[in-house]
Amino acid sequence: MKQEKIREFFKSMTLGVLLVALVCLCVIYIVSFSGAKAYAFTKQDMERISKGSLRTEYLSHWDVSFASPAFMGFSSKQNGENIGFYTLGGENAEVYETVFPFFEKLFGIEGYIEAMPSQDGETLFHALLKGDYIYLSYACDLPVSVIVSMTDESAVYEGTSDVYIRELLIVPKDYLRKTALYGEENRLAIYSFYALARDSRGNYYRCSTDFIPADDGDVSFHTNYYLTYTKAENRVPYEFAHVWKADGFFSENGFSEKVTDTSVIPLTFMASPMIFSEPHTLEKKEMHTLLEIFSLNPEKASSYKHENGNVFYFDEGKHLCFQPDGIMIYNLYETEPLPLEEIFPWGLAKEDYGTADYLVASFLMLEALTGAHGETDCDFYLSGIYYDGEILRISFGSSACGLPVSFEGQTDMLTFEFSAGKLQSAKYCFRAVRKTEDTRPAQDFIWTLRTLILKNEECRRYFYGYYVSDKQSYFDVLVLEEIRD
Amino acid sequence: MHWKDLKTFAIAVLLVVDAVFVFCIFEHWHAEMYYRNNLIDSAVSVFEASGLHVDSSFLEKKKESLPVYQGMSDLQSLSESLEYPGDFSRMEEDGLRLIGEDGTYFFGYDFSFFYSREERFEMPSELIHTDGWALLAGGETAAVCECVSADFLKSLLPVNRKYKYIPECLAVYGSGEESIAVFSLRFENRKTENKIFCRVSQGKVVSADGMLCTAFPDERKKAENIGLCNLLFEEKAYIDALDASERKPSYTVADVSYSYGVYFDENIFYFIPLCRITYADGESRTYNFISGELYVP
Repeated sequence: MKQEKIREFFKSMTLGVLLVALVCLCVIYIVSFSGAKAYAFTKQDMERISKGSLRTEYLSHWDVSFASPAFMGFSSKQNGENIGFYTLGGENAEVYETVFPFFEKLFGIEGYIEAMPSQDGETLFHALLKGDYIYLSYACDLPVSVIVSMTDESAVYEGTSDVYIRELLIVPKDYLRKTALYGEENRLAIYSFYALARDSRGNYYRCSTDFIPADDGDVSFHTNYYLTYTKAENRVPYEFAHVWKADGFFSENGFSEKVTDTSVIPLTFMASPMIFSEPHTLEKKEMHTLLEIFSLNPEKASSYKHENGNVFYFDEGKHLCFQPDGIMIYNLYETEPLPLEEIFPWGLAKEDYGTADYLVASFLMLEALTGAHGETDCDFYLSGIYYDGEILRISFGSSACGLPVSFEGQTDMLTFEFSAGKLQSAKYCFRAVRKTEDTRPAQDFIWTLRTLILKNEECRRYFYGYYVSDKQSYFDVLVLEEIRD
Repeated sequence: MHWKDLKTFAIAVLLVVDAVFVFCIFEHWHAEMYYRNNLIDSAVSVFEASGLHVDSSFLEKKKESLPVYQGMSDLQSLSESLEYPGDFSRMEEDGLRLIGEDGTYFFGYDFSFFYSREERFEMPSELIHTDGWALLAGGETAAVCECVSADFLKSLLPVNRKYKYIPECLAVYGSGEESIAVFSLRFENRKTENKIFCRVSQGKVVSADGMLCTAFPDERKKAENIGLCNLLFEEKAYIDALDASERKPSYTVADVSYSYGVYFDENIFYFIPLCRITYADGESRTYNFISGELYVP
């Protein structure tokens, strides 16, 4: 009897233990089979970090000098004549950096852009030229997003705006107060500000901001921007054609109709270094490097010389054409585009490429191509960004001492066409440009303008630059012209 | 039926049910930890079709489950711990610069590092690729270089109760009287991709550059690993995409190893597990073990 009681007791215990075990096993079974894996770090986290790392890679090639303006001007009527700087290709970079705080307010979250009717815009623009301003003129129409992302690294991935700017006038809006920020004896009036922008087709945009400078250290419009540069060695006193007092000869020969309103008229003689440039014959090693840049194998590529002098290299559908006039063209017959992931050294392929990706790809290609041959002193700048809905064309020009270099009238030295994540074609004029120690006066602007307006009928923009031709090797600064769109 | 018999019956049933549950849970755990044999056989034969020879023993091993470590790059505390008499320290945009009697140190937020006794110097990491420098196969010079460099690095590495960075010498290069030691840092028993190059002359480190971890992680995270089998399929896809002229007759996997690479997101750093697949002819490719992307240092 007693034994049976003990046996029943153990059976009850065993039953209890098995029941508890069953419950635990059920819970473990449900948890392990439910698929709920609590990963603290997932593939999505990795993609987010990679994008950040990718942004870091991009930024190492993101050079503000590519989108520096061609000219900047500061005007303060009470203090004297206008002061200008040639800033193309990153020349006088510290001058351009002056306006970055304005960009942050005008084109950031506190800013907004409104299109204006052309007539109103033009009237306002001309009125503002007669007052105090900070003026910027870019080499081509640039999307606002590109201008901003070039000056603010955090904006690199913020998409592409559909507003293009060629010229920008930052002007004072409302008087706020006087500040002793620059010394008691130099109390300056500070103003809130806005900007008027236009593109080369005559579209005007008013760029406003809700920001009102509350502290003296906040960005505001004041004359210290002008006063900082009154003693700068490379300043250029100037006047705009619209405001300049043309003499009788100019008035009689249609100056105001034949010269664009913001053609810069230098008021003093300017001296600049001469540049040296000669057509370059590629050496075998340089040729091989250029082939490799476009993923052609120089050991395997077959070559063919056309009767017109063009030399073609072929390798598995890809082809490169070298013309006798020093032009290289990739994919002339549009057979084999180059995927962007083959251009990026970090090898990352994406499904969707944006303007920032194509710009970085073009910067990388530019660095590779220009580093492949000869020596060049010149800087490079964006001379065109154009999208027709299918193809994005990005062009670069070269500059020296802040001035554009024109090759027989052609400023685009390098052009890329991108579409669907691939480089569809590339065109490159491989001609090295070097600065010399020799400084010479630039061509007399006003005297040359007299000749040019007699010769030309259309409205043109006149500006200083270098004109390179095959007839000589050394070049001075000349007055160049550009037909207004 | 007497309730005593019912009890016995219930025990028997519970035993069977519990056994079934234990078996199912074990099977599931085993499937999570190991690849199924039929999957291994199928995968190996698919790889063979592309000329990729993978010994099944690589896939029969327990699946690696490597965590991610996260931390914050903190140069302020490094600055305080590395003060020498007469030092000048300055926080710059990219990192911390220390100028002392024995030279200049630079520690970047991204773990970039250089040191030099002289104002102008050539980076040891670039110098080893120039003419005149050759790999040393042992010898006194190599041993001295390794010792001196290891001491130098240990004096710079942070100290922590929980974690350690252990410098491990990978190679020593020599040129005349000078030598350059290449170190990698080991973390949690795994190599990291952080390499440091130390140039030794007359028994002293005269310059160094590379990536030096200046902070320890403060969080260990369970991470979603992609798995070796998926990476081998990536290798197969890579081989299949090669031109016939570039493809080798066969690719035999000789070794699979795991290490950590450092990624940055602003001031936060992550040790991300990497997987390197090495072939018999020495060719290797390293993959991010989370995303499956090819790793580019």
